[in-house]
Parts: sequence; C-alpha cells; structure tokens
Amino acid sequence: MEELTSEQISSKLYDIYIKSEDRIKSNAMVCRAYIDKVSLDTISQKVNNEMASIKYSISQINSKFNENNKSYVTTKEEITKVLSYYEQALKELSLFYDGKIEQLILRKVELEASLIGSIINDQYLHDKILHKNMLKENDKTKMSLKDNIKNAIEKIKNRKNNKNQVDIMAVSKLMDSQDVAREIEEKSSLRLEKIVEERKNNKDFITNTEKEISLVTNEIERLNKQKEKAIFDAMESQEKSVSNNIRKPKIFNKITRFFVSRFNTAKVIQNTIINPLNMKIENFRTNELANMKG
Amino acid sequence: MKLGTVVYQSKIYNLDYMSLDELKRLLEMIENEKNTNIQEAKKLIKN
Repeated sequence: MEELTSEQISSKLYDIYIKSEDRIKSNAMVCRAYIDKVSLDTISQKVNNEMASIKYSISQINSKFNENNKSYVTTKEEITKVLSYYEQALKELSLFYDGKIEQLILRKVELEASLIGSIINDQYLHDKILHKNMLKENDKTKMSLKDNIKNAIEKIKNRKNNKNQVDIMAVSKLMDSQDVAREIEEKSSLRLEKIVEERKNNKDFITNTEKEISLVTNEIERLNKQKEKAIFDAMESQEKSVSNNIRKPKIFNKITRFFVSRFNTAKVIQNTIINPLNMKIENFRTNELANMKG
Repeated sequence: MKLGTVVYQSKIYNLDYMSLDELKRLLEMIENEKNTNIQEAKKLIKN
C-alpha cells in the first residue's frame, strides 16, 4: 500500500467527516423510528389480545348478544372506552422508557460527533508536531547564535594562543549568548512536549469515547427489550381467561328465549368484564406506573 | 407522530410507512457503514 502524504490523509479524513455527519444524523432518526415502532406494534398487539379476550368472554355470557339487542350500542361504546383507557395506560408506560432511550440516542450522537472530531484533531496534531520538529531543527535565530558563539570561541582561542590578554567582556558576552541559545532550545522543546502531550490525551479520548459509544448502544438495546417485556406483562390476568371470573346463573347453560328476556346481558358484561378491567387499569396506573415514574 | 424521511444510498426511506423489520435492516446498514467509516479514519491516522 502506497504511503499517503499528509495532504492526502487530510483530504480523505475530510471526506469521511462529511459522510459520517450525515450517517450519524440518519442513524439517530432511524433508531428513534425503530424504538417508536416497537412501542406501537407491542401496544397494538396487546390491545388486540384484550379485545379478543373480551369478545370471547361476551360469547361465554351470551353467544346471541349482537346488533339486534337494544343495549348493544351502549355496551359497544363502553368497551371502546375501556380499551382506549387500556391503550392510554400502555402508551404512558412506553413513554417512560422511550424518554430514557431518547436521551441515550442524543448522547450517542454527541459522542460520535466528538469521536470524528478527535480523529481529525489527531491528524492535525501529528502535522503540528512534524512542523514544530522541523522548525526546531531549522531555527534561524538559533543557528545564527550558534555560529556567533563558534566565532567568538575561535577569537578567544586565538588571543590565548597569541598570549594576548583574554577579553573578559568577550567571555561574558559569549556566556550570555550560550544562555540565550539554551533558553530558545528549552522553550522550543517545551512547546513540542506540550503538543505531544495533547496528542496523547486526544488518543486516550478517542479510546474512551469508543468504549462509551459501545456502552450506550448496548443500553439502548437493553432498554428497548425491557420496554417490550414490560408492555406485554402490564395488566396481564393471572388466570388463563377472563371468563373464569364470570359468574352467571347455572341456568344459562341452556339459555332460552324466555330467560334471555329476563337476563340483562349488558349489565353482566358491565359487571364482569368492563368494571374489572377498568379497576385493573386504575390499579396499574396508581401503583406500578406511579412507582416507575417516582 | 411524523418520523420523517431519510436518504440513504440514493434511496428515500419514509420512516412512517416502514415495518419493524425494514427499520431494523436499515438501522443495521447505516450503523455498519458508520462504523466502517470510523475504522477507516482510525487506520489513516495510525502513524
């Protein structure tokens, strides 16, 4: 694989940044849609199951109860009302979980954007280190100082050889020049060290951010599954069917037209199906749902 | 609630009308591509 230049790497990273920005947003939108759909489908299934259960129970009470009965319309309205109430309670339950998941989705977007930014920053710091190293090597001031110090040492050596008196001022100037050179060297090294440290911290940040993204992704999945189970388990009857709780006169085993006219099916449905279901929903809202919300 | 549309690989996806399985598949595709991009970027800076 051919070695890429710094400019080529930066260009590729920019392309990745543009693509990733779009993918991060799309991912969040689709994730949100998926979470909502899980809630909708689960609630829909649960409501349908409850409807089927009610229909079965009514058929157990009176299999001939239909549109021809005068109280059919009222009963139908009551059933619709209780099922809406049932659905509403389930929606509140799902909202509790979806709110938490939404926060996690937003956090994930934040982390992923930071991650891409840090990766690009790493390349920038790498280039900066290279540049600073190059500057350090080719520092004109330092090189000119080095030359001057070299010349001054030569002059002092010559004077000593010629047995002339050593110029104290010259030696003093020489020592000052050396101090300045050392200072430039130190400052330059410090700046470089700082950038190297910054790059190391950036790399640690990249590693930690990746770990956190993984944790958040797993948490979203876990909460979504937990929500699904919670919706399915909510307000579930302990008995196998609602009709086990229905008390009807034994004579109904062979119902006749005579007894039907004396038997208020609508009232029995109200007392044995609708009212207990209303109570179950109310109990769920005041206990389980309230405890969850805190 | 309007979930919006998403454009991905030259296709427009209307999230409101997609089934659960379709959403799950789309989510996996986008997630995989996003992770591939990040790994590609990390390889470039490995120096």
